[in-house]
Amino acid sequence: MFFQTPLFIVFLAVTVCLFHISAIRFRAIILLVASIIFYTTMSAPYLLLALAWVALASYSFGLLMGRSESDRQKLWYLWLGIACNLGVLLLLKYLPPIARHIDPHINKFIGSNFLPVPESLITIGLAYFTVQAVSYLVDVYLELYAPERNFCHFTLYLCFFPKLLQGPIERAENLLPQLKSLNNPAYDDLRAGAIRFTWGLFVKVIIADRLGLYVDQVYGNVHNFDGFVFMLATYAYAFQIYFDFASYTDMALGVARAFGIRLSENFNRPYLATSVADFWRRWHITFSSCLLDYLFKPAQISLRKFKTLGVCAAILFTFILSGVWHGAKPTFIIWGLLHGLIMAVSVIYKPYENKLLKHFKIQKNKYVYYVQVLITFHLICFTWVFFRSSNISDACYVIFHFTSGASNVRGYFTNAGPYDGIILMVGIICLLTVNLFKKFKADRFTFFPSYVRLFLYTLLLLAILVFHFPSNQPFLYMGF
Amino acid sequence: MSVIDQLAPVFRIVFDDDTLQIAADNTANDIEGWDSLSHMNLILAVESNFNISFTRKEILSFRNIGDLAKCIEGKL
Repeated sequence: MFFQTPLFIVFLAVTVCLFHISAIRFRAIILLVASIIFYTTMSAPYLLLALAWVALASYSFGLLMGRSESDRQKLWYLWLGIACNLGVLLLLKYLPPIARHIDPHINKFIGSNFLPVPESLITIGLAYFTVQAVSYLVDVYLELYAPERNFCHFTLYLCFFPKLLQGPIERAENLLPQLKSLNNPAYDDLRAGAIRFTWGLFVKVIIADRLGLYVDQVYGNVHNFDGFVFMLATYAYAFQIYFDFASYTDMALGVARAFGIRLSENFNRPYLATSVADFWRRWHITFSSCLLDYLFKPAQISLRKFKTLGVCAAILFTFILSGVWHGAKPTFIIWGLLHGLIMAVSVIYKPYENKLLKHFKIQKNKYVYYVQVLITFHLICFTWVFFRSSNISDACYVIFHFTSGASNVRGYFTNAGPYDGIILMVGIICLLTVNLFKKFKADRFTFFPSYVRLFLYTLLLLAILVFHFPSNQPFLYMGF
Repeated sequence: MSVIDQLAPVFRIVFDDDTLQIAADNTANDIEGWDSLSHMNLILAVESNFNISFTRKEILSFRNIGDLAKCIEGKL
């Protein structure tokens, strides 16, 4: 039951109605039951066990830390809690691909299948709520947040259905207080939530899914293409993954808003970043802030005696793990390593760059800004090649053939289909128009009279119903 | 002289801004150039200036300059 399905709309409507008609003291339970039902529809019952395990372990260790007098004991509880969370993540997400690699080697000696290796395991949401649970435990250890005593609120904090499958990864101090005071949402919350959800749905089913047509045909069979087409497919992927993930975030925040809950923003125009470090302040913000606070900073502190080299090592450590978090594929690890390398190098040259710009008094020069944005965008696209490729061999083929020519460009556009191409272009024009409007009118559409707004909303809904991409494409970041 | 007054010159050196003024409720968002990299330079400079050493837990728990100042006071 994904966000873009009719069944979800029915589920949401029922949950919102039940929420609004029930007494405040029952609302947390209603949301918890709804979240569990939502997760059950993923057809992976072991995930509910995993959720229960993570919730129980994190809740228990949080309380134990709160009662402990000794810092050493608190640290033990913290590490045990982290081990419980990461243990289940390793078991379900990384064991199957690792076992698939080692099993044939063991077979040579034993002569039969040693490990009952499943083909693949659905792990939707697991990586997100385990990271969230770890962030809660660390915040309790650092005494930044008091241990949560109400198990229902705590479990709901982990599995609140709008953010369960793909984030945002919420800090305890942001979400838990809201879940403990589920008052009547204002009319504005319902209206804003509905608009944001519908807009996210439009971007997903009109734009993001169609961009996949320009990506999958190339990255699914790289040896049929070369040069310019690789560039086009990589640019298309850069925007596909952004629109896909950002649209999910819009839908998640919209749904949460209907219950009066404000989830965290996850994107801030990432392709306008002026450096890769700046990109990570704008892309998957809740995840990157977890990387910063729970991986990078502790590593940096431990290595601070090594000054710049220590910072570089901490960055590499953080981003290699970031790659691992996305999946057990070597391409993800290389993607993370590339980000780490680029940022580690920039730590060394950035002070000189800043001095140079300051010397020529062009720190805020707009042409310098444009060049920085352009270079950063292309560095990010270069890393997306590895992120999207099926394997390292394909990624290297793409990289080494970027400038090999411009054959098959017509075939590339023809394969995608003219009908989808036109809808995609119109969709992008709508998106750019809305973004330009938002830039100049911060209160969005309330600038227009109500009958104009009603007309625009109706148009939006009709566009979704008529022009949505025919096959139901899953959200890309659900795979992590 | 309060700890925050003693911290001000350290901040000015680390962020290369002679006009910088700090307050207890300032965070990284309030001071230009204060990111995670310069944060560690700041911590090293503070440790050196006050001849103290922070634990990892203390550094991770600083939310603003006031938290930093309070921790320094406890060590002096």
